Amino acid sequence: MPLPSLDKTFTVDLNNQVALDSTKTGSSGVDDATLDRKTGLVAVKDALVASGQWSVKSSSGGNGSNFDAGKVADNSDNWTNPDDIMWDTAGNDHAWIVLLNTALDIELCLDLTIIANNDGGTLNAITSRPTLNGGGFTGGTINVRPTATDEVHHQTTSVSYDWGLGVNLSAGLDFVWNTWVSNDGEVTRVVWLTANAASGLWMIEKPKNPADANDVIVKIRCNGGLTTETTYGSLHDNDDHLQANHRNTLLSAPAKDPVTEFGPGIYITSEGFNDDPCGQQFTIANQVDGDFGFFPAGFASLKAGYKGRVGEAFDLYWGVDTQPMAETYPGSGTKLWIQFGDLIFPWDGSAPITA
Amino acid sequence: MTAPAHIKTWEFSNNNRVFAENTGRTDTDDGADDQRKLFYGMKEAMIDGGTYTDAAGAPLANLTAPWVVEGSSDFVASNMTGTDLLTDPVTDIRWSQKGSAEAHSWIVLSNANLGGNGLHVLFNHECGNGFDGSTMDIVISENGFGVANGGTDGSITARPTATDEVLVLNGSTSGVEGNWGSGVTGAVGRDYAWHFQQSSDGECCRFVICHNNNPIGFWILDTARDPVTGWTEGFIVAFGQSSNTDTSHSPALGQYFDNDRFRSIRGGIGGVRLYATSEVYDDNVHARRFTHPNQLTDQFDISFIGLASLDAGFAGRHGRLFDAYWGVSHSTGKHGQTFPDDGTRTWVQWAELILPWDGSRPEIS
Repeated sequence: MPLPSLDKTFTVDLNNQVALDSTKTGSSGVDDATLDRKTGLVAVKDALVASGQWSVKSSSGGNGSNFDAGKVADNSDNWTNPDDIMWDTAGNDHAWIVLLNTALDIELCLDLTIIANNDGGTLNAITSRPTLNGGGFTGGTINVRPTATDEVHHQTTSVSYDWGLGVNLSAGLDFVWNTWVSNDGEVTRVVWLTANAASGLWMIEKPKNPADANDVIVKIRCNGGLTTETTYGSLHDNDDHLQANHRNTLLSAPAKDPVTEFGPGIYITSEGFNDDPCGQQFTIANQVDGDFGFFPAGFASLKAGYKGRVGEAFDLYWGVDTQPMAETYPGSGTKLWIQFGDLIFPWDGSAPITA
Repeated sequence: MTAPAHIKTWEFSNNNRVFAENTGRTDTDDGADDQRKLFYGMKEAMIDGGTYTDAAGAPLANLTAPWVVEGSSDFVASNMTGTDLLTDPVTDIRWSQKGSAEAHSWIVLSNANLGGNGLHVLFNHECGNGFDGSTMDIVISENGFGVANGGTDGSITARPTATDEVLVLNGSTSGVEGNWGSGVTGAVGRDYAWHFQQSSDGECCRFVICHNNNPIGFWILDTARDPVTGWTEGFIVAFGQSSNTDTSHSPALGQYFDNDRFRSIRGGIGGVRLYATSEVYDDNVHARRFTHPNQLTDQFDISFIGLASLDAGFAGRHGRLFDAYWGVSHSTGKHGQTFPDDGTRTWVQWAELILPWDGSRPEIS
C-alpha cells in the first residue's frame, strides 16, 4: 500500500544516546534515579522547550548547582543540568516541573516523588487545563508540588508502572530518547529505547476527528520494565496507560475517577477482523503489493460516561507485529517511517539508533 | 453520528413490495410466485427495468450504468446472445433440483464497470432437493460465460460455464452460503420489502431484502476503494443470508467481520475470500461494544470497513468499501434506522451495516 502522507509537520530530536552512568548525585540515595536517567529526563524537557511549543512555568531544582546545593522552587526553569533534579519520597525535598503547552491548553506537572527505594523509577504526572477549566498549577515549594483545582492524574508512584526507563533499578543503562513535537503544538511524543526495546512511550496530544474537541490524550505511564511497551498487548488490549484529560475536570465523573483521580482510560484501537488486529493477523508482507501494512490507530474508551470512540491518532499506525525493532519504511531506504515495537512513527531518514 | 458525505452518486430503487403468494410451485424444489417476483424485481432493477430515485428522493428516469443481459433460460428456451427471456416472473422462472438435469431458468448479467476487469454474474435457479427455491447457484466470472468466452452456452437443463468461474452461492447448501435472501426452506408465503442501490458509475451495487421486519438478505457487488497496487481485479461480492432462518439479520458482523464471506477472483489462484475489517481493541470490535450512542457526542459511532484476506497467496489488507460503515450492533427492531436525525435520511442501517439512502422512510415489511 502507498505510504501515508503526514498529517502534521514535526520538530524532531532523534537518536539521542545517553551512556550508562549509575552515579547517584542526590542525597536521597536509593530513592533517587541514576545520573543517566536524570540526563535523559532533563534532555527531553529541553527538547520539548526547544520545539517552541512547550515552556517552563515553574520548577523545583538545583538551578545549575546540583539539587542539594542549589535547590530552589520558583517560576523558572531550575532543571538546567541533570544533577539539578532529585527524586525522594513525598514530603521530602525533591524536584518537580510544570510545563505549559498553550496550543493544547494544558499544563503537565512532573513530580519526582516515589515510594521508598524506588530508584527514581516512578513519578507523578498530573495535568491541568488553565483556560478551559480556569485551572493551572499554583504554589509549590521545594518539598511539595504545585496543585491545580482541576488536576487529573496520569501516573502515580505505583510500583506497577514506570516512566520509561525501568523501575527499582539502581543499575545504570545505555538508552536512546526520541521526541516529536508537531509545529502546531498539538502532538508531542517521546520514545525511550533501552537495549533494543521501546521501553517507554509518552503521548500528550489531541486526537484527530475528536469526539470532544477539548480532549487531550496523555500517556506518561509505561510498563514498569525494560521490555517493549509499544505493543498490541500493552496499548491495544489495555486502557490503563492512556487517559484523557477531559473537559470540565472540575467534576468527579465522568471526567475522572473520583477515587484514583485518573482520567478515563483509553485504548489505542487498530484495524482488524475476527476480533484481532490486522497487525497480528498477518505475519508477512501483503502478498499482492509486497508492502507491510500500516493500520490506522484510533482512540476509544469503555469508561462509564465516556464510552465510545474518542478520535483517531495523527501520524501513528500499527504495524505487523513480527517486524524487527526499528524497522524503517519504505523499502527503498528513505526511512520516512519507523516501527518501534508494534507502532509506526514518522522518521527523518536517518539510520535509527536503538541504544 | 456525524453523517459523512456520500463518496459516490447513488441511484436507488427502494421500498419495493412483494406480497406473499405461496402459489405456483411445480414441486418441492421450486420456488413460489412471491420468490419469483422477488428475484424478477431485483433482476429488473439491475438492468434498468425498475423505478429509481436519487439521494434526495427525486425520481430518476433511468439507471445510468445498467447491467447487461448476456444470456438467459426461461426453462423453455435458452440463449447466450444477449436476450432476456425472463419477461414474466410467474411463467418464466422455475427452480429445479440441482444435478437433476431438469429444465430450469437462469440468467447471466454483466457489468463492465465493476472491478478492474468487469464482472459477469450467473444466477442459476437450481437448488437442493426439497429446498423450495430458497437457494440457488450464483457464479461469478471475469472472462465471461459461454462459448464465445471459452466456456459453454448452457441449455434449459444445464447452466452456462466460464473458464474462470467461481461458485459464490451454492444451491446445494441450505444456509449461509446457499440461501439467496428469500428466506429458508418451507412452502410458505412471504411478504418482502426490498431495496436496491447502485452507484451512477456502475462500480457498486447492493440489495437488502426484508421479511417479517428483519433484513434477511443482502447482496453486494462492489468495486474496492483504494485497492492496493497489483490487485487488478479489485472487487468483492457477497450474497445471501447471515443464518438459515427467516429472522436472520443481514448484513451482519458475524457474516463478514467474523468470517471471510466476501468473495473475489484472483488471477493464478481462482476464488478468494476476504473479511470486512473494522476498528478493534482488546479482542473485540468497536461496533459490538455499544448499543447506545457515544457518550461524548450523543451520536452513534460508525466504523470504517476495510477488506482483508488470509488466503494463501492473497494475504493482506487490500482496500476498503465505498459508502459503507459498520454501525453499532443493534438489537432486533432497530433495523431501518436512518441517519442523520435531521430528516434528510441520507444513510440507513440494516442489521449492522450502514448504507446510503434516498431520504424516504424505509419499509421493512
